[in-house]
Amino acid sequence: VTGSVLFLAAFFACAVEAVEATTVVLAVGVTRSWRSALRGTAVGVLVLAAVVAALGPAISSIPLGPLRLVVGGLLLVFGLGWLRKAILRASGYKALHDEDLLYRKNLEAARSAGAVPSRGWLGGDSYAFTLAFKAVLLEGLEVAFIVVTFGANARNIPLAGVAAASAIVIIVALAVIVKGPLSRVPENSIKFAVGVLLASFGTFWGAEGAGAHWPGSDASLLVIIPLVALASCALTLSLRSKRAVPSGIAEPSAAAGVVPS
Amino acid sequence: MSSVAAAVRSFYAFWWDFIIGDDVTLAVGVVLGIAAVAAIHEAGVASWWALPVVWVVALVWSLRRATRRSGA
Repeated sequence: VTGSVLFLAAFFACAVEAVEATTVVLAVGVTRSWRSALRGTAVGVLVLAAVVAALGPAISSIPLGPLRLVVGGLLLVFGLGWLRKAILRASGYKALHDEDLLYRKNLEAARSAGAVPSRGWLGGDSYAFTLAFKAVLLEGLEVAFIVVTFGANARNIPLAGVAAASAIVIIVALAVIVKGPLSRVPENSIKFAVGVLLASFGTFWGAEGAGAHWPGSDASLLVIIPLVALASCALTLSLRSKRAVPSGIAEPSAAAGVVPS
Repeated sequence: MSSVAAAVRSFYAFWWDFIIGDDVTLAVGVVLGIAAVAAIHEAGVASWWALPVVWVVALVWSLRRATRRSGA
């Protein structure tokens, strides 16, 4: 069970962030220079791979008790952060991620940036290189941490790495096929699902690391995950109804299609 | 000296934003929850329930603050 959940969590976490990074890379590639955008992307991916390669063995060498305490706590903080955002978006209190809008904004910004002095190895356009590099690094850093911490706790960092790499390959392939931002990917629902998984495993490992013994041991995860999902759905519905009362009508654009299932 | 201070500040700000994110309530809730588990476990009582209870309270609190800020 842990292996398949580890794969799914790493895969979907990486897919969501890859969609966001792809939007920026596409925008600077189309308007500025594909060569520089792709070089910036490649360097960003290499830095992320180096982070995973350096942190993975270091974290894996920590004894399981302290590892579960610290890493469980961190996963829980990340998971609750993702859940909070997903609940606020699904209930209409926060705008949904609009990849088309972000794409257009990035296109305008890249066009208005004008000529930027560049160096040869950046591929001719340092603006495109820097923007693509930053997008990939910043969007990917949290995923790198999730891959390393989740993988280390499950004692299977390679599986988490394979899941993350698969997600990147699929998202990039989709972007090449679509030739535009992947606005149809249900980012909020995926974030919601990943948040549930991270919060569930973070709760399980964090409490174990602090000394608790779960009834049923690992099997308790089969209860924790649905309970976390149910609690999150209940919070979403509660906020939606609260929002609908004073304003009369919930914003259809914010609420449509994001009910976590 | 000021550039060093600025670098330290931006380093600190990066990690704060990276780990804590939009609302410190969740991180505080997780730390308190883990501390509660450890304390209850030390007392010799089953403690697995404490962490989920504390983080649910922290999440509800954090969502309430966010929805109040949005003015709805």
